[in-house]
Amino acid sequence: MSSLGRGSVGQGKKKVQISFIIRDEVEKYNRSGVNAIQHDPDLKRLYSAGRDSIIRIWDTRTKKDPYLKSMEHHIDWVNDIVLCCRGRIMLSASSDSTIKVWNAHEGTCMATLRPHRDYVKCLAYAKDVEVVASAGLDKTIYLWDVEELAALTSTNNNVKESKVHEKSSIYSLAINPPGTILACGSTEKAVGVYSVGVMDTRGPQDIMRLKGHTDNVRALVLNRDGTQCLSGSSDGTIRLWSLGQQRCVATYRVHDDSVWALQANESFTTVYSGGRDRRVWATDLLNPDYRTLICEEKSPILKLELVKGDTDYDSMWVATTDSTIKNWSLKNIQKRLSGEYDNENIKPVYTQPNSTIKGGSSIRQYHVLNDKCHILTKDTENNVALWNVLSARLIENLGKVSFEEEIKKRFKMVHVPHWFTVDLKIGLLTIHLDESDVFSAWVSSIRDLGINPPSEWEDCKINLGQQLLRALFEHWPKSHMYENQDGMREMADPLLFSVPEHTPILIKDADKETQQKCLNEEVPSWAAEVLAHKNMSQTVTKIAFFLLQYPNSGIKTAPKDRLSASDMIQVRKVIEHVYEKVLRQGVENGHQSGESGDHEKEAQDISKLAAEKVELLCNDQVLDANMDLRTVKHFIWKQSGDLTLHYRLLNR
Amino acid sequence: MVIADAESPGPLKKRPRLSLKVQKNNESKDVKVGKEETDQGGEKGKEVFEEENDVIERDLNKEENSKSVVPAAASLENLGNTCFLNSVLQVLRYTPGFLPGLELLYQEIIQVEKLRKQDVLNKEDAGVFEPLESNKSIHLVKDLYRLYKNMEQREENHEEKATSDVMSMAVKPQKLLNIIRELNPMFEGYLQHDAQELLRCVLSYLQDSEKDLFNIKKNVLEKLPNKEVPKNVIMDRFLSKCARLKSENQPQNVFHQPDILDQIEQSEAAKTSITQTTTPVEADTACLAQEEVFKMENVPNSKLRTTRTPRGKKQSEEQKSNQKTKQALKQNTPRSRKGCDEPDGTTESKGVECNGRRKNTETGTSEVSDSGTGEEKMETDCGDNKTVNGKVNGESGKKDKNGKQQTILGMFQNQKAGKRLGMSRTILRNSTAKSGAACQTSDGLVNGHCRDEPGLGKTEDVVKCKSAPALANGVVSGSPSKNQSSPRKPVVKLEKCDRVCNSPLKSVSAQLATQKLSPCKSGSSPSKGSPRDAKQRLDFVVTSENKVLNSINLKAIKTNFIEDLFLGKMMLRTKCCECENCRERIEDFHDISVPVRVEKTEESDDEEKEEDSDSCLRKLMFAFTEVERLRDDNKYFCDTCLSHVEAERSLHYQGLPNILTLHLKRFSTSSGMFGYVSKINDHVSIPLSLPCLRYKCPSPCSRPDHRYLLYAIITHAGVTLTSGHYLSYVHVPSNQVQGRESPRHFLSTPTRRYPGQWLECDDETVRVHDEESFLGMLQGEEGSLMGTPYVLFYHRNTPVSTWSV
Repeated sequence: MSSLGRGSVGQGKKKVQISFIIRDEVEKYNRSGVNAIQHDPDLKRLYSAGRDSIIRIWDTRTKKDPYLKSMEHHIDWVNDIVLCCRGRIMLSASSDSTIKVWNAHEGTCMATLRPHRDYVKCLAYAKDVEVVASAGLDKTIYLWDVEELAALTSTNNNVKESKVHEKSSIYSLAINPPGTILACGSTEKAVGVYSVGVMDTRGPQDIMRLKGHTDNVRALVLNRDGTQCLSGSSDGTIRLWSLGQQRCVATYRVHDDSVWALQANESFTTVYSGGRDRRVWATDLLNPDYRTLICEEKSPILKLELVKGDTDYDSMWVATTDSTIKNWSLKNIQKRLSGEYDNENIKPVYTQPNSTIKGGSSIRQYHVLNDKCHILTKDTENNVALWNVLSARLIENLGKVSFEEEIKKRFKMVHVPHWFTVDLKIGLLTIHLDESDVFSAWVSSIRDLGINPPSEWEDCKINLGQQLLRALFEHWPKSHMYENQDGMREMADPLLFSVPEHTPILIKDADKETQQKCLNEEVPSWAAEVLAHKNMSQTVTKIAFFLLQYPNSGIKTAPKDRLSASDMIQVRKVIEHVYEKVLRQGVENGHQSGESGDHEKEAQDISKLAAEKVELLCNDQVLDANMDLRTVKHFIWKQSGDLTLHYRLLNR
Repeated sequence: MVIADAESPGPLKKRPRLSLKVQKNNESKDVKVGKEETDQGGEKGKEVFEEENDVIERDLNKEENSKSVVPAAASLENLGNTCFLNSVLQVLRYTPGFLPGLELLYQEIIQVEKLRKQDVLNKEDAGVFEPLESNKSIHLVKDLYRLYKNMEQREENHEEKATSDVMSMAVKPQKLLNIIRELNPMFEGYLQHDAQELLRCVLSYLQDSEKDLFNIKKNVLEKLPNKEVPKNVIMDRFLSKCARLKSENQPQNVFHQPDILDQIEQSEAAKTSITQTTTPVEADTACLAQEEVFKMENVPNSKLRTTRTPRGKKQSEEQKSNQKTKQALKQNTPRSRKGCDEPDGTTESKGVECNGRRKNTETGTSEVSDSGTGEEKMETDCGDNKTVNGKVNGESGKKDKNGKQQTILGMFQNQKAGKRLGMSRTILRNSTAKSGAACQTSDGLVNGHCRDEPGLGKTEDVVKCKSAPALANGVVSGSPSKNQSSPRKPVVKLEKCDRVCNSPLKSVSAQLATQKLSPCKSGSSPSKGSPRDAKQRLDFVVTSENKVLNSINLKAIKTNFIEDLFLGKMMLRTKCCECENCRERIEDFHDISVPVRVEKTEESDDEEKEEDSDSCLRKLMFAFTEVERLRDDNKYFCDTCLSHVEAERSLHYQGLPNILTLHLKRFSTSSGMFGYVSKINDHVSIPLSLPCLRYKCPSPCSRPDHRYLLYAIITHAGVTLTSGHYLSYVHVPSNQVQGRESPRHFLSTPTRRYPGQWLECDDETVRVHDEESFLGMLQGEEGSLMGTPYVLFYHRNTPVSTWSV
C-alpha cells in the first residue's frame, strides 16, 4: 500500500504544509454541496457526504433538528459513500485520495486506505457478496472485501486488493448486487464492463466497451443479473445497454443538460435521473414517453437516493451542489404520459419536498486585508464576515453588506508580506502555512491586529507565523519539554494569543489529520525547529534607501548616501536619524557652544523634537511617522529600485 | 519516396549556394534601370498607373508566344542564399488581396509624407521634419512596393527584355534585403534562414508600419489644426471612438462601416458641441465642423457635377443621383481612394471630387436608409425640427442647442434603425423617392448659392458649398458666433430649406454645419469682417479640405490589410469536468502550426492505425485541435468548484482568416543532438482544398465560402534549417475571377499568360506547370515537388472583393 499523497507526486522535494481550518466546534450543517447520500432503512438514518469534507448523520424521523453526528476525518471533498453490512460499516471516498472505513453506527473511523494516487471519485457496492469497488481520477479500479476491511486494526492493516487499470479518469462506477459484473464510466466516453468472479484470482476481466456517448459518463446503474446497464452522460442522454448484445438498446433524452445522477427501481422498469438542468425525471424504460418530472431543484443535482416504502420506492433524497438535502415523494407519479417533448412547459409533480435537511452557507469569496491578519469573506447567502487568522476565529458577522465596500472601508495603508494562503474548497476558511514564506511577516506591534499582548511585548518585533504556529501547537507536549529542560529560559515567551482548541490542524503530505498524540513524527522539521527549540532565525529583511534633502528647503545638500535599515523601521526613527545625524551637525556648526546638560535633555525627547522640526517625504508626499519603510515602499514609492526619501525642515 | 527525393539532389535542382552569384554585366544594368524607373514611379504615383494601363492594353493586342524565352513571370535573383526571402516574396506577390493592400498602404505613406512636408513648410520649422524613411518598417513597405512594381514592369516589358537567359526576368531584391536585415539582424550573413520566420517578420513589420503610419498621421493631424484651432480634444475623442467603433464593427461588412462611422461621428460631434459651453466649442469643433460641412456639401456636390438643371427636373435628377450613389457603393473603394490620395495643389479639386464621391456614397446611403426607416419617426422628428427652427430663428443660442439635442437623439435612433436593417439595397431602392425629397433641402441650399457665387474654375463647387452653410450660418449663430457679415439672402434660403426638409437628419446636419462653420471662418479670417476675397477663401478651402481629407482617410483607411488578410481568431475553451462550466478565451492567430508527427494519443489509437502511414494534412489539423486534458498534477482551478479539478481544454477556430497559413513543423530540436535542429521529412499529402474548420458549423459544412483553396506552397529541400534550398509554388489566378475585382491589378501579365496554372519560383528560374501536372506532382505521381512542403497557403473560397480589404 502506498502512502504517497498527490502533492508529492512529481515533486523532488517533499513539501509539507501545515493547514488549519477556521470553523465552529460543531458544524451542524452542510457547508457546501453534497456529493453523496446513503439511507439506512433500519435506523432511518441518512448519511450525507459533503464537499465540506464532513460526513454527517441525520435522523430522518425528526424534522426539527435532524443532526446526529459528524464524521470528520477527510480533509477534502468526500465524493462518495456506501453503507455496507446492513448499515454497520461505511466506506467513503474523498478527493484527499483516501478511502476511509467507518463504524457507521458509532461514527468513528476504523481505517484509512491509500491505494489511490488521485481523487477517489466513486464507489460501488455489491450487496450480496459484500464487495466494494472504488475508482477515481488515477484511472484505477480497486475491489475490496468489506468484511476484511471491517477487521482491520492498527496492527493488522494488510488488505488484499485486486485492481484494474482504465485508460482515462473514472467518474462513475456500478456493480450488480451479486458482484458479477462491474461497469465504469470515464472521460473515454465509453462504458467499460468487467466480469468479476468472486473466486477468480485473476481479478476483473475486461469484457466489453460500450461506445455511443459523446461525452463523459457520469452515472451508471446495473440491473440485478448484470444483463442491462443504464448510463447517464454529460452529453445529456441516458442510454440503456444490453450487455448480452453489447449494444445500446435505447437512448433517453429527457434532460436538457448533463445527466449526473441515476437510480433505477429493482425491477429495472423505471429510471430516475437528475443532472445539471436541476430536474429529476422518472422515465419508463420500456416506453420513454411515460416520463414524469418529479421535481425541480435550485441547483444541479449530484445524487439521488431512493427510499423504500411498503412495496416500492416511495420517496427520494436529492443531493445538489447546494448544502440543503431534500426528500421528494414518489407517490402518484406512475405512468403519466407526457406527450409533450418541450421540457419548458412541463410542471413538476411536486413543488414542495416532503422534508428538508437544512444546509448552511459556504464561503465563496475572500479578501485578505493589508495587515495580513484579517480576512473578509462573503458566503453563498451574501453574508460578509470578518475573520482573524491569528486567533483562528470569526471576529464579526457583518450581514448582507457590500463586500467591495467593506474591503474599501477596511483598507489600511500598511504593508506586511504574505505569509499564508487561503483555500475555500471545503466552504470554510482553510489557512495553509508553507515553509517558504510562513516566517516572512514581522510586525512591530500586534496591538493593531486585535490582540492585546502582555505589556512587555508592547514594542517587540513579532513574527506572525511563528506566533501562530506556537498557538496552534500549544498542546503539543514537545513544545513544553524544552522549557522544562532548560532552566535558563524556563519562563519562555508566553503565548500572545491562542486558537480555539477544536481547530483542526492538518499536515499535508502525509495526508493525515493529525491527532495531537502522534504529532512527533508528523510535524515538519521547519515547524518543529520553531516550536521545540525556539530557534527563530532572526533574518530581518533590509531595505536600502536614500535620504535626501527636499529640494525646496534652503539647506545645503548632503552627499547622497545609500542607507540601509530593517524594512520594519518606522518613519519616526528615520526622522530621528535625520534630526540627530544630519541636522544637528548643521545646528552645532551654527552655534559653536553647546551645553552638555542640554544635550541629555534633548536626547530624551529627541523624537518629539525631531517630529516637530523635520518631516519626511517620499514622492512629494508627507509620510506619517507611524508608517514603516516597507509600507512606504509599497504604497508610496511604488517602484522597484531603491527607495528615495526626502526630508524637510519645518518652520515654526 | 519524397523523403528520398528531398535528400538526394534532383536533376534540375540547384544546390544551396554559399557564394554570391557572378553577375553578368547586362543584367545588372537592367536592374539598375528598372530601379530608377520605379523610384521615379513611386513618386509620380497615379500618372504611372494610367500609363501602365495603356501598356497592358497594348500588350494584349500583340500577344505572342515565345517558347524559347523564359516565362513572362518575374523572378527574383538569389543574393547569396536568399532563396528563403525569394520564396516568401513570390508567395506574397501571388497572395490574393496582398498587392492592392500594399499599394494602398504605400500611397498612404506618400500622402502622409506630403502632408508632413506641407506641415513643415507652413511652420517654417524645418528641424522638426524627419522623413518617414527613418521609420524602417515604413521604409520596408516602400521598398517592397517598389520591388513588386519593378517585377510588374519587367513582366510588361517581357517581349523586349526576355531572352532564354533566366536572369533576363530576374529582379534583385537587394534593397529589401538590406532593410530587412536592418530591421532584424538575425537575417544577416549568407546562411540559410527559416522562410516561415521571415514571413512572420515581414508581415509583422508591415503591420507595424500600418500602426506607425496611423500614429504619424494622427500627429500630423494634430499639428495641422493646432494652427487654427487651439485644442483638439474632440478630434482625439472622435478618433478613439472611431477606432473603437471600427474594432467593434469588424465582423460587419466593410461597405457599411463608413456610413455608421460617419453618423456616429456626426452625432458625436454634435454631442460634444452641445455638452460644452458655447464659445470654446466653436473653436474646438472647427475642424470637425469642416468635415461636417464637407460631408454635407458632397451630396449636392455630386449633383452639381452631374446635373446643373433647372429645378423642375429635380425630382428625377435626384433619383438618378441616388442610383449613382448606389453604383458607387457597389464599386470598390480603391478608385475613389486613389483620387483622394492626391491632395496636390493642382489635383486638389480632383481629389476632392473623388473623395467627395466616396463620401457622397456614404452619406447618401445613410440618408436614404434613414429616411426610409425613420418614416414613422418623421412626424415627431420634424416636429422637433420645427421647434428647433423656431428657436434658431429666435435669439437664444442655448435653447437652440437643447432643441437640437433632441433631434440628434432622434437621428441617432434613426441611424440605429438603419443599421438594424443592414442598409440593404432594397431599402435603398424603396426609399429613393423619400430620400430624393430629403435631398431637396441640401440641393436647395447649394443651388441657391450657386447662383450667388461667381464660378471659380474647378474649385468652384467646393467654394460654393462652403459658402452656402457659411452664409446660412448667420441664421443659426445668432448669439455665439462672431461673424457679422452674413448676407441676408441665404437666410431666406435656409429657412426655406428647413421648411422643405423631410429628413430629420438632413436638417440637423444642416444646422450643425451652419453652426459650426462660423468658427471655421472666423478662425481662418478673423480679421476680415466679410470674406469677400475669393482667393483667400479658396486657400482656406484648400487647406481645410486637406484636413478634412486627412481625417477622413484617418478613419476610413487605417489600413489594416495584413490583419484583414492573415488574422484569425481561435477560442480556447476550458471545461471543468466537475461542474461542467466552460471558460472561453479568444485569441488571435496568424498561422497554424501543424505538427507533422502526431504523438499517439490514447483516444486515437484504435481505428486509425492503418491510415497512419499516409498522414493526411487534414488529420494533422485535427490533431492540432484535439482536446487537452488538464489532469494529475496539472489540474485546473475551477472558479465555481473553488477547487482543483480535471478539465478539458480545447481549441476552436472561431474566426478564420482570409489567408490561412499552415506551417508544417518539420524542424524539431528534440530528436538529435544538442543544438541540432533536425528535419522531419515525413510525407504529408496536401489537399487542394480544406474543409471548414469553424467549430460552430455542422461537421460536413456545406457552405462553400468556408472552404479554403490552396494557392501557394513554400517547399524546402535539404536536411537542416540552416542549409538547403527554398522555393515556392504559386497559383496564378485565372482571368475571370480576378478581372472583376479591380480595374487594374498587379499580376496582369502572368494572369493573362498563365491563368489557372502553377508557377514554380526557384529564385531566378520560373517554370510553368499546368494544373494537372502540378496535381500530379503534389500527389507524387509524375515527378514530385522540389523539396518537401513546408508552409502552405490557402485562401478563402470567395472572391477577394468580399474580403475586408
